[in-house]
Amino acid sequence: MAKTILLVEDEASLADRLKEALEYARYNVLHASKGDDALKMVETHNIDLILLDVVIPKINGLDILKTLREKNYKMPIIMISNLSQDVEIGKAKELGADDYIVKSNTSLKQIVDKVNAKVGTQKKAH
Amino acid sequence: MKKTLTVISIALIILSILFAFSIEFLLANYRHSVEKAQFSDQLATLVIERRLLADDYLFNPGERSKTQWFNKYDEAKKLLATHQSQLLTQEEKDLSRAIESGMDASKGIFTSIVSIKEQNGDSEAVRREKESRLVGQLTVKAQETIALANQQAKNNREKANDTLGNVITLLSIAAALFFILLVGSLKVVWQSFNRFQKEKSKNEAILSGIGDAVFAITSDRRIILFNKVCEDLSGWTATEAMGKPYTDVIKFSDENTGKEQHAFIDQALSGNLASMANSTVIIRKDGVKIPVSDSAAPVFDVNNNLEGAVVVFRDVTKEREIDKAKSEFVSLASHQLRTPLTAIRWDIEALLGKQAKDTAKREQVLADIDKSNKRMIELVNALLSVSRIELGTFSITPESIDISALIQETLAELSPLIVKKNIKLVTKLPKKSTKYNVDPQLMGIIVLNFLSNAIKYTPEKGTVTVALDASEKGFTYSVSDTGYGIPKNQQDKIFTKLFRADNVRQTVSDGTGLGLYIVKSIVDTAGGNVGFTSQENKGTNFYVTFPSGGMKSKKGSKTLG
Repeated sequence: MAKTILLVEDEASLADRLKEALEYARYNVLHASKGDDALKMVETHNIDLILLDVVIPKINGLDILKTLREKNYKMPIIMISNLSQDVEIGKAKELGADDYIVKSNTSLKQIVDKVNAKVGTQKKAH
Repeated sequence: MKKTLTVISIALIILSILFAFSIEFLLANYRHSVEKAQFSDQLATLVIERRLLADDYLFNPGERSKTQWFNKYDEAKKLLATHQSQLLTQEEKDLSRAIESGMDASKGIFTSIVSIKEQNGDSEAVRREKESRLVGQLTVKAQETIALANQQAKNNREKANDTLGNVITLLSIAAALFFILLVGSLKVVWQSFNRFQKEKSKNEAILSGIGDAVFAITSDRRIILFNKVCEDLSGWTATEAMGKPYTDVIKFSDENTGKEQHAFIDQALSGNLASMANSTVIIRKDGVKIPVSDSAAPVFDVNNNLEGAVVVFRDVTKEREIDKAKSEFVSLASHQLRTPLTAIRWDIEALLGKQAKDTAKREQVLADIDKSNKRMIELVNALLSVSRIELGTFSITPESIDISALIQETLAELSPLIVKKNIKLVTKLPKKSTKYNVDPQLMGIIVLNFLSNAIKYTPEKGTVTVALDASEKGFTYSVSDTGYGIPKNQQDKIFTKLFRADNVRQTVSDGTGLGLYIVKSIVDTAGGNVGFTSQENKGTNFYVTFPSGGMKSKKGSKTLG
């Protein structure tokens, strides 16, 4: 059965390509563009991995991460952000993020590879 | 000062020697005159004695009184001889000779008396008559001689008095000269003391006038200097701080770790110039932490021995805030720039890979690339404007412009967008000419910004109203919309650099968060007023007002936009 990825990203132009790439890699992708929506989705769906942007409206990515870990959600969470300050990276690791990806420095393929590594390779589409 | 004092001292020594010699000379003269006067007195006494001896001889003739008379005569003669060698003036010599001849005459008379007494040839009556005549002569001679001797004594006393008078005059002159020189040298000393005092207070004034905190310590770390700013920053007064080990008074620590930061002072005390660590704060007496920066330098004496160190520091609260704001801006700006860059990167990756195969998809991705690219360009331009605003290098060159015409031109440019979003446009522009002195380029930025924001943040089929209110007092340009509005809790941040309200961030992707910051900076610099009213999901009204004089001009090297 296809694994479900929650993609939390407020920039439509980025979310579209990332969603397509993950779907192409045969993942089931849920998309949220606001922090509060993302938290609701985690509660209502069975999610295997979260790709979590840091700068998003309502509740920011780091606060979502904190809330989820406090609520004892154990799924892998990979932070995706264009903030590359040591402060944010350090804080994310401290709060229990599995990885921190600086978007502009990473290709779609690299992200898919990281997801694969965390939740197991999916069969490629024909 | 030293030279003057040396000259005065030498003059004093020479004068002292001269005065000593003159006074010694005068005193010798005085003693001499007094001796001579005493001699004359002695002479007079001898004359009187001889006169008495003569009487004695007359009543009681004998060898004893006769010999005594002649002895006294010899004594007086000898005295006169000694005396005569010391005589200087003619008058003195004449007087002395007169005395001598008087004495010789007396001797002659006395010898006659002796021969009368010893011969016994005459009758008693004749002898008595002769004796009485001779005694009369003798008395007259004695009186003459005494008068002469007294005259001589008197002369010499007068001379002695004169000499004494001279000594007193000389002493007075000496005293006066000494006094003048003493006053002179005191004046020189006083003046140089005054100059030293002035110099000292000048140095103190300079030190306390320095805008930086300054304190100096000895090599055993005790405070020997503590200026005004140092008092302010440390919370200690100079009086309290003086003499104390500086570690009791001044506490430097690291802003982040809280660790003590005194290594740079140790370094200075080992002879090297040293700077404070970047994140140093001073902990004031009351516990308040103030960011500080600067350095410590060793102090050497003339023989190049280390004497201590001087520490200079200043309050860098503002600088550190600016630094923080700068690095935050760079971080935010790079985040904003990376977003369209990432979009383009991933779009191209999609086009090159298998992800976007069919033509419709490929065209959509290409359109996305175009959009992201335009957003990048807009962002870079806006960042450039921001940098010009912050450097203060942009110019404002007002000229007479019809504001109404400018608004209409901008609306014409934007009409494709207005049509595309099916927005109802209401314009309330005066019919008459609305000419004001404004910088056309900057006014264009303001007009465009309000309008494009209104169109951008109003959903399809909404209404945008443009109004220009022009009078002799000035003009107000306003744009209101029926758009998303600004959330109340974020309204105070709307003019902040790179700020975008939460409610529009994911609905409208192509905002830079710089437009309103740029507008506000222009209006503030040009002497206008900008503001807004807004309600979330109802709409927003932005307005800008300039007085009748229009924009204030400003010289600068660059234009905005």
